Amino acid sequence: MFGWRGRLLRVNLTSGFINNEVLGPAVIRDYLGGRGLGIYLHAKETSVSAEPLGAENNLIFATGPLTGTLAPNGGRYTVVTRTPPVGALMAASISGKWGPQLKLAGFDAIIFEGRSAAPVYLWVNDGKAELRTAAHTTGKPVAETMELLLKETDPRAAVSCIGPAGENHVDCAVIVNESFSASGKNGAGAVMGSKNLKAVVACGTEGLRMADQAKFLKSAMELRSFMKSRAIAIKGAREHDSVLTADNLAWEPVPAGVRPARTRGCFGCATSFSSFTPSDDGGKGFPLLGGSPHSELRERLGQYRSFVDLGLDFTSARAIVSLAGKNGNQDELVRKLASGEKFERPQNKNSNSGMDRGPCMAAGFAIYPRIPAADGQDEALSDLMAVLDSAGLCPFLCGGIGMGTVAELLSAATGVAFSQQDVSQVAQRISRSIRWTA
Amino acid sequence: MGVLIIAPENCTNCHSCELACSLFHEEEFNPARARLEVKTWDENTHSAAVMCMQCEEAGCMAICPAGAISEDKATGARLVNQSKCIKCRMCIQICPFGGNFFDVRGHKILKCDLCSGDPQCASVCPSGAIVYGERSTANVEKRRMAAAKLKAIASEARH
Repeated sequence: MFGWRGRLLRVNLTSGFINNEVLGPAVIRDYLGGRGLGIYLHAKETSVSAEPLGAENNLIFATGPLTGTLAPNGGRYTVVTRTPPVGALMAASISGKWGPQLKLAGFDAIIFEGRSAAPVYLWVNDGKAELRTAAHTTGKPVAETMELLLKETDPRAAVSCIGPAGENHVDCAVIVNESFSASGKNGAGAVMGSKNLKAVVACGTEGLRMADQAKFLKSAMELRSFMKSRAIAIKGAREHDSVLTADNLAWEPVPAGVRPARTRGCFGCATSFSSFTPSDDGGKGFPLLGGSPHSELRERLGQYRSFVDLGLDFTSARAIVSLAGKNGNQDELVRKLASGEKFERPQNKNSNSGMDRGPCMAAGFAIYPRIPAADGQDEALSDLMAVLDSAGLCPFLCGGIGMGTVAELLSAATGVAFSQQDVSQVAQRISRSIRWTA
Repeated sequence: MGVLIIAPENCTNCHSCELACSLFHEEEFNPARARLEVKTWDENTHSAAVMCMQCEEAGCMAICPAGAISEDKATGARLVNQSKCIKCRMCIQICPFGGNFFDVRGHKILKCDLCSGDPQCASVCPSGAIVYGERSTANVEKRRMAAAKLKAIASEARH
């Protein structure tokens, strides 16, 4: 099989039983992978009335057919589950090395069922998988957990894990990986914590072959060189020194005299340059990927990292903490929140869509793609976002590519002839599934 | 004669070079079978590509007991003759950069061959962290930047 692996892992945490299953060709053709496949698999097996933190609520990790390929920005995977308090269906696409590593290990997706009696982590390596004890990582923050687990597995592996917040079922707990891109505001980390699953570690050496290598390379490289001449112009809000939300974006020609240099990116990122303009106060824009020195990164992202390291979503947790106390020690409050202490929750102004995306981690900024059209206000854009999330591509591509390009890449990668219309139908199928199960 | 010039300060940790390399040589996307590796450290804030530097006085060439490593006169690359290679891995051990790799799947030595003069890693790199350039002018850009910095600081001191 090309593009896809055609296999999934079913891990029953209650019994410790792991099954290696075939993914039907019709299913992956209809739902691609990522968000689409995750929602399909979840809807099929989890009842709408399942308790979000109960054993019946499945937790699904799914990659797309373009995850781990040279298709620009093809490093995404999606987490799907139902989250507290009411069991809303959520899907969050996350960037990082984990998705590609899972595919190289031989699987498109993992379904976690049940609940383990003791803390465990799953180690997936070249077609094999085993549950191991995670007792020694209990209560440990994210960075330390990843370091410990890489030491006892493989230094080339990638880790998706939760921090103390997830273990303590905090409603804004995230699932996070080595890039510190995380699963957004919906509390997927709490579901993972409720299953006593601390981490999923993946590593593989099984290469991904393309159905039509020459054609795939041509399409991918054409798009990559187009991206070299384009800057992603983001309009949005500045939440913090290092945390931005992208409410709107477009691909514009790179401004004259600007060197396309930047310092950080996610797996597979081909974006050469981008700029940010605050949309509220008519403030001046500034370049985002304009080469900030490595030494500044850790400092600038420091506060963002301190939240995510405890397994908390930055935006939600910060809002909760700032409501809790103007005078309290913030670090102390954040730790208390992560440890499961009760805090008053701010009123939620935004429509709380379950479709979320982890931030882009470019040049020392965490940029959340919260493009409103993705909530269904603009159907064409909403469909495109659904397809990008399902194919395994980055949501920031929505400013510059169309369904036709995605169809071209998918056809060359998988050998299944996707027309532009086929891809649009995938998007409609996914939004229908969401409506049925909501 | 061309060389690969690594500019770690431009590396964004996207691993595209590994994908392009493994696709060109092994016809699959597989970082574990690439002839270079992006190393990351310090909680992912630093990264750089590591590969064969095609040393003129190449240790791998000198130590190879089978005489399997030779110079490609056209590109200057040190090539491994897989049929002569006895897989003793001495070339991996002696390389001062850790620039040679062992392919656990294909069971062979993986060493950069400059893709016969058109290195795929350099053409795919989105940020200029790997550039294929002339040996004689490899560091011209760095020299220019150093000169510009010197000029700026010197003029500031004068005013």
